[in-house]
Amino acid sequence: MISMKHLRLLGNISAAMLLVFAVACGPSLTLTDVDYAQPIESVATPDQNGNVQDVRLGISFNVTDLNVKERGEGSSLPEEVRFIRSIDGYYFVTAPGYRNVYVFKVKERALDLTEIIRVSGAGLANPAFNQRSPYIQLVDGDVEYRLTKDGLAN
Amino acid sequence: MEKLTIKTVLATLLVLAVGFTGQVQAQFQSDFQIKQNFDRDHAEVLEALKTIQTSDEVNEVNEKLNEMESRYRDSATLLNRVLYPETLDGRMTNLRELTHVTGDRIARIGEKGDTIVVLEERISELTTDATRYQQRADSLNNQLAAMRRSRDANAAQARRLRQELDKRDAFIIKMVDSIFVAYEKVDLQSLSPAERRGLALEIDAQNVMGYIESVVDNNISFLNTHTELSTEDFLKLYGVQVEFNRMWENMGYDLAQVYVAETRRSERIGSIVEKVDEWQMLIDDAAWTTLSDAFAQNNIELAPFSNSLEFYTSLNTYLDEAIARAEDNGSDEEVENYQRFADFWFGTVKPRWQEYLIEANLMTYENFNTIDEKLTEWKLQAQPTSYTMLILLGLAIVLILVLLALWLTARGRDVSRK
Repeated sequence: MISMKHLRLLGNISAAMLLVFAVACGPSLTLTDVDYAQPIESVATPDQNGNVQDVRLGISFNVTDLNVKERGEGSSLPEEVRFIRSIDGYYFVTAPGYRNVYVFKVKERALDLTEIIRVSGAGLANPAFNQRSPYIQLVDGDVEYRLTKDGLAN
Repeated sequence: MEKLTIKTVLATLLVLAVGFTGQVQAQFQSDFQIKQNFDRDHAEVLEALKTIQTSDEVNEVNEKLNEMESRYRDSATLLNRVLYPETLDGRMTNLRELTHVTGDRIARIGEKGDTIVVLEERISELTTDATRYQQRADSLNNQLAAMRRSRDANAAQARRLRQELDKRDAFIIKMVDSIFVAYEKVDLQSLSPAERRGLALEIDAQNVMGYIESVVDNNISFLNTHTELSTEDFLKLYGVQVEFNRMWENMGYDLAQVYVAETRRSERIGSIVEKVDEWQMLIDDAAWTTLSDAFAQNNIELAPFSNSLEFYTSLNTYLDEAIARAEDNGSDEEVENYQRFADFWFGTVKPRWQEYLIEANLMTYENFNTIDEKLTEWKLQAQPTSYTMLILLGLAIVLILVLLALWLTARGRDVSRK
């Protein structure tokens, strides 16, 4: 004999199953084999507010906090900032005089620092990024560094 | 032998060292710098192509292109990506072609002289433009034909189409002017018949005369089908006709000498002259009729006129008669007549038509000044004679008479005392 209690339980189970089914049917799609690699680095001059942009690529961000982290509070902005995006979508940013390369992950309207790669004790003289997937090559004069999002590769 | 060996070893080491350094530097070159260098080299070649004037300079540019090709060959993949949608090959081919064209031009100038080459280029350029205009004019003519069939055709549409055709007519006139100016620089007599033929072949012989004729045809067709336009529109069209006449009289016959075979020349010129006359007659009729109607609609009855001289004479006669009438009898009615004419003259004729009347050589600034002066005089004379003025005049006369009587009396007394 099916009691009212059993009927209520059956109803609850049905509702739960419907919910699971509905969630399973929601939009879910992942595109793979994405190559974010920027073929050539961007070289941008910060404006008075510390904004840099690459009109061609359609990206702009503010480097003031990055400069404070590298050089300390009150320091002047570098004359140029160099950045490049790696195949896996991370941005590598540095500037002449910097000792580090900063690695950022893209977030919604933000770049999140994920790694600081120490490359030069005295500061980079004339840095330039090259895309050498899967690495990012950083050259400074006749010195070469191979970078990944996790640090130095060599 | 030993010295030689040491020298050889040192030289080899030096070469290796240089080679190694070069390799290291090449290995660590910035991609960004490669792109910058390529852009700079590319711009340098383009700049050089603008100014070079000798075949030696062309050779220098070709050498530079060879250098660029070998320098950037290894960076082709990178440059193809950063130059997208262009490619390194595409850019280099383009530079090669430009260099070839420039070299060819310099060679032609060497053979034929600067003026002829410039003329040939100008003609070729104008022919391309003229063809484009011709296509647009054909399409507009089709629209005009469709409008004629359509009952809802209106003046505004016709005016819009007319403006488009005007642009094209102005271009043709300019083109013919330009060709002629270019020809004037060339001593045609000094060219051999073959050279003259070669020059004329640069442009389709039918085209030059064809373009000229099409301006006339289009205007005749337009005037035959669009009588609803305003006086202003017709005066503008008159300007086109006057400008065309100037061009045709200046150079029509000369162009025919170059572009029409002798056997057909007089027939071709005759045909165009006939059409030009028809155009002149049509625009004359349209412009003067609409101008006369405009004055009549404003209750200004001018003597009939059908050309610019008659129009100006008619205006003068009207004003002279009005002034004479006002001199005899200034009155409120005369002031009203004056005001009506002045309103139309200063409100419509001068602001809207003066420019076109002068451009079309139908009137001059002096003519307008004369009319303005006559209007000022008419205004003065038209004022009715005031009674107050008459009374004052009478009182003045009485006063003068009294003073005269007093003076005579006083003089009589003086004489009797003596």
